[in-house]
Amino acid sequence: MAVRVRGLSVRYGATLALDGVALDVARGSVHAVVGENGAGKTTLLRVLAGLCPGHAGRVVLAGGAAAPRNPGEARRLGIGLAEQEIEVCPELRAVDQVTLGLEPGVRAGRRARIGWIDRRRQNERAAALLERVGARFPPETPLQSLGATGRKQVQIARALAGDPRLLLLDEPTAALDAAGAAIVVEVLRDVARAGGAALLVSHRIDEVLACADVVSILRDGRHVFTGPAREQRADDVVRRMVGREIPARAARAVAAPGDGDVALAWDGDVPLRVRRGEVVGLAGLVGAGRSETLEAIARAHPGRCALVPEERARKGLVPTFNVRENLFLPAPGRILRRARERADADGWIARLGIRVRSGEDPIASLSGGNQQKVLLARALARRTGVVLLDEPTQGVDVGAKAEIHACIRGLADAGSAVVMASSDLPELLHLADRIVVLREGRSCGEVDPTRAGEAEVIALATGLDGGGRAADGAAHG
Amino acid sequence: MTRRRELGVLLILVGELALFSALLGSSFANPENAGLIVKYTAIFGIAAIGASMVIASGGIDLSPGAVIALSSVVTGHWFVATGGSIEAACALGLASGLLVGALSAFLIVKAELPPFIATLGTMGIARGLAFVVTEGRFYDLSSRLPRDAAPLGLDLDLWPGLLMLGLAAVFHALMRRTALGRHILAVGGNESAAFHAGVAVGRVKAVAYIAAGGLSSLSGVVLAVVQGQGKADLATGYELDVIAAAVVGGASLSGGRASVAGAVFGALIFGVLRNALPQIPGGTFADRLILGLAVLIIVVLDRVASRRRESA
Repeated sequence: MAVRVRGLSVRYGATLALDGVALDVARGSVHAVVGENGAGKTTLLRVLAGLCPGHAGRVVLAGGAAAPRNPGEARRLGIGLAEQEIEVCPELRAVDQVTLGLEPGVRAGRRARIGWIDRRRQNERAAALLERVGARFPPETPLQSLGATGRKQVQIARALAGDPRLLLLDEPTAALDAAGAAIVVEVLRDVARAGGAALLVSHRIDEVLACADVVSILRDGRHVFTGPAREQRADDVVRRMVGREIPARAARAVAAPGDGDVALAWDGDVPLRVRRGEVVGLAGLVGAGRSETLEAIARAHPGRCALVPEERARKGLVPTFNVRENLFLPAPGRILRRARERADADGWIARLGIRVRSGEDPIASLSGGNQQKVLLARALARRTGVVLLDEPTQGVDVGAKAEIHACIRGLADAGSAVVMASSDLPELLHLADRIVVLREGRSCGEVDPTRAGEAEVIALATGLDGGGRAADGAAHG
Repeated sequence: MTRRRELGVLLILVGELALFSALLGSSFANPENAGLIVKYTAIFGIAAIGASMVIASGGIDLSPGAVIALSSVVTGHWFVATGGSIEAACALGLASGLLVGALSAFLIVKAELPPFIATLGTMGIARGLAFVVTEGRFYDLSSRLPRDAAPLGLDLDLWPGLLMLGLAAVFHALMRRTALGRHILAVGGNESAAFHAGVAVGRVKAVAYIAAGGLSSLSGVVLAVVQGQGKADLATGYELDVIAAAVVGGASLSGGRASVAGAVFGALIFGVLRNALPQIPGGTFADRLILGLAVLIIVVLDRVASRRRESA
C-alpha cells in the first residue's frame, strides 16, 4: 500500500473540511479523487504533502512513515505535489523554479544547500523534466512571460523534480488542452508503472474515468465511494458526488419574478439581464470566471452596484476598524456624524441580527457569519439598486447561513436586483430565480431551479455530454 | 484605542518634563526654555503631522528632511537673493513642498512605485534641487528681517509653536471627523477592501502625500524665518526623526492606525530630550543613543500593553 488513511479529519475554523476519511491508495495505481467544490479533495492532498499539520487521524505512507509535517519533509519522503492554484515566483526562470529547493550541487550526487549550484546539471535536469511534461518553451523563459498553461507545466515538472514515489496533482489539466492533458496522464502512468502511486484530483469526470485505475468520491468532507474507474458511468459518479437531499424551496413572497424593470443589463462573455426583485445565481467550477464577471460589472457601474467580494478578510474587511466603521465605508458625507452613525449602525445590527455588543466592537471579534452580515449591511446601506454577492456564505456556519439567505431573499423582495455567485449548489438552487452556468469564462447555459437540479448544473459546468450540446439544450429548454 | 495611546504618550511627555525639572531645576524649567523647546520642535513636529497621515494610509515618506531643506532654500533665495517680500518667499517655500509631494503622489498612484522607492527618489530630487539653487552658498535671512518682526501682532518666536499646535488641531480633526480621514485609515488598514467598498484609493493616497509635502515645507519655512537660515544641507536625517515621532505617537507602519496629536506629542518628547540632554554632563554625546533607545522602549511598551489588553 502506498498510502493508508484512517479517520482523517481537518477543521478550518467552523467548517469540517475532512470528516473521518478512510482511503487506501495501492502501489502501482493511478487513483482519482472527485467531488464537488468544497468536498475536501484539495485538503486531502494538502495533508499528504505536509501542508496541513493540524489534522486528526492516522496516515501511513509506504515504509511505515507518518504524514509529513512540512513540505520539506514531504519531499524527503518522496512526495511531490502540484497544487491547483498556480503559485510561482514570477522573477525566476522556469529552470530555477523547477529545481527550487533541489538544486544539484557541484559535488557529485549532492544537493546544493549553501554550496555552489551546478548550473549545467541543473539546466539539463530541468530541461528534461519540462520536456517530459510537454512544455514547448525554452527552459530559460522567465515565469512572468509564461501563460497559465506554461506555468501549470512548470508546476507539474516541479512536483516531479524530487523523483516522487507518490505524485499528487490537483486539477492538473484545468489549464491544458487535450494534447497537453494526454501528456500529463502519461506522466501519471509512468509514476505508477515505476512502482509508485499517483493521486489525481480533477473536475473532468470522463477524463478521470478513462485514465485512472481507481476512483474515490468525497462529499462534504466524507468518503462515500471507491471503485474501479473503468466500471463507473459518469452520471452515476455525478449522482454520488451530489448525493444529499436537496432542501425544499421556501415559499416566495414575491409574485412572479421577472415582472420588474431591468435593473442591470450587462453584455460581455457572460451576458446578464437582471430585473428588480430577482436573484440570479452564477454557478461554475473554480476558475470558470464567476468572480471576474462580478468584478467587471462592479467596475463598469461605479456607484450603481454594491459588490460584496469573496475572500472576506482580503477584499472585504478593514481589520483596524470597528464594526460601525466597516459598515459605513465609503463614509457617507464629507463630515462624519458619529452620533448618527452609531444610531444607524444599531439599526443595521438589529435588522440583520448581527451578534455584537455594539457597533464599537472590533471587527475581528465577530464570527465569520457575522462579519459577512456586516458586509451585507454595507452593501445595503449604499442603497444601490443592484447588489452583487460573491460566495456570500463561504466559511459560514449553518445557522448564520440560513440567516444570510433570509437577508438576500429579503433584499430582492424589497426591490433590489441581486446577482450571486456561489460554489454551494444547494444554496443557489434554493435562493436563485434562475442560474446562469459559467464554463471557461463564458456563459454556457441557464438553469431553472424549479425544474432542474444539481446534476444538470454540474453537467453544464463540467461540459459532460460533449460540451456545447447540453448547454444549448438547457439554454433553450 | 488610539485615544489610549495618545494619553500614554502625553503621560510620558509629562513624566519626562517632571524628571528633567527635578534633575536640572530652573535652568530647564523656565518659560524661556519652554518656548525654545516648542520652537525647535516645530521644525520637525509640523512635518510629523504629515508623516502620521502618510503612515496611516499604509505608506512611508522619506522626503521630509530634504523638503525642509529645499523650502528653506527657496524661501531664502526669494527673500535674500531676489529681494522679494517675506510673504511671497514663504508662499514659494510652501509651494516647493507641495510640488515634491505631488511628484511623490504621482509616482506612487500613477506609476505604481512602492512608496519607499518613490520617496527615496523625491528625497534625492528635493535635496539635489536645494544644492543647485544655493550653489554651495547659504542665505542669511536674519540680517534682512526687521528685528522686531511680529506678523499679526504676534512675536516671531511664538509662530512656530502656534503653527504646529494649530495645524495639529486642524489635521487631527481632519483624520478623526471627516470622510477623507476615515478613508485614509481604511486604505492603510486594507487597501483591497477599501477599493472594493468603492473608496477612491488613488485620490486618498495622493492627498496624504501632497499634504505631507506641504507640511514638511512649512517646517522648512519656519526654519528659514525663525532660525534665519536657508541652506541645502539643513535637516539631514530629519525624515527618520519625523517617522519616529509619528510611530511613538501611535502610528503603525503596517498602516491603518495613526494619530496626529500623538505624533506632535512624540515630536515634543524628542524636542525635550534634545534640549535637556546637553545640560546633563556627558549628555551631549549620548543624545542620539538615548533618542534611539527611547523610540524602542516606547514602542515595545505599547506592544506589551496592547497584547495584554487583547488577551484580557
